[in-house]
Amino acid sequence: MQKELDGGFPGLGVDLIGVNGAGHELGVPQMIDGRVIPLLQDTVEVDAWSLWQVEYRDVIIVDRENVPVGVFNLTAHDLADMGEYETLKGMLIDAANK
Amino acid sequence: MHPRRPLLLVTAALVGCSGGRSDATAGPPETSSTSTPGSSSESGASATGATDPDAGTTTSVDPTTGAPDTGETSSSGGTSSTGGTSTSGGTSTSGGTSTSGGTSSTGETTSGETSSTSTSGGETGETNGAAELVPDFMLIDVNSNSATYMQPVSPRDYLERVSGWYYAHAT
Repeated sequence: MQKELDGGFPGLGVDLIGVNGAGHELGVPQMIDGRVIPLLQDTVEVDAWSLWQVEYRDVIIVDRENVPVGVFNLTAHDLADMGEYETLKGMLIDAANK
Repeated sequence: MHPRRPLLLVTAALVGCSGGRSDATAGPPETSSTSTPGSSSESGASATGATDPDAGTTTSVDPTTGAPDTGETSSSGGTSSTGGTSTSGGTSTSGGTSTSGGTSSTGETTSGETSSTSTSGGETGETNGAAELVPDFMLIDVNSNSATYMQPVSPRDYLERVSGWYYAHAT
């Protein structure tokens, strides 16, 4: 999706970032395979997951002022469904256009 | 005979005075209390209308300058602002939360455009209501394919950009 956003909407300024759960470092090779977006490794000390109060597979959409404006859970909304894929993409584009 | 005359005179004088006082005291408050809302919705509509959204949160704001009341027109200003609140209370639903936004917009719309004032107040209120930044942190990018590989990354690095933060882990 990052490549699609960059290619289809140049200058929109949308970035995707992954945050791997603390204690799951062994899964990093699997998560980065074929992906160029940053993958941040969470730690017990930082515990970004608790800081942001997220659930597994949440995508938190953050606007230009660093304010969260939407949540899209990929377990509830499988991106294999093109409708769900387009919904998430639309949410990101809408946030960028505001 | 003599004692009656002064008594009658005094009585007459008292009756006359008290009648005058009762009219004088009862009349103006009733008149003013009923005329204030009327005047605010008619001749004073522009000034008081502009302060309607602000009145809910900043009752001390001067309707013409946007500055705190100086006291010169505090009594009438207070009355009109109260009337303004009741007048536009139905339209400025989010005005109550936009304290700073409402104040600044009032300063701009001294000529008194009620609708534009309440609209801008609403927008400000929405912004202020959701303006809580995501908690900051600093984590290392472990994707060797990424441009920021092995560099610390923070949500604040993405200010001025829209970002989607995907929280997951390999199972």
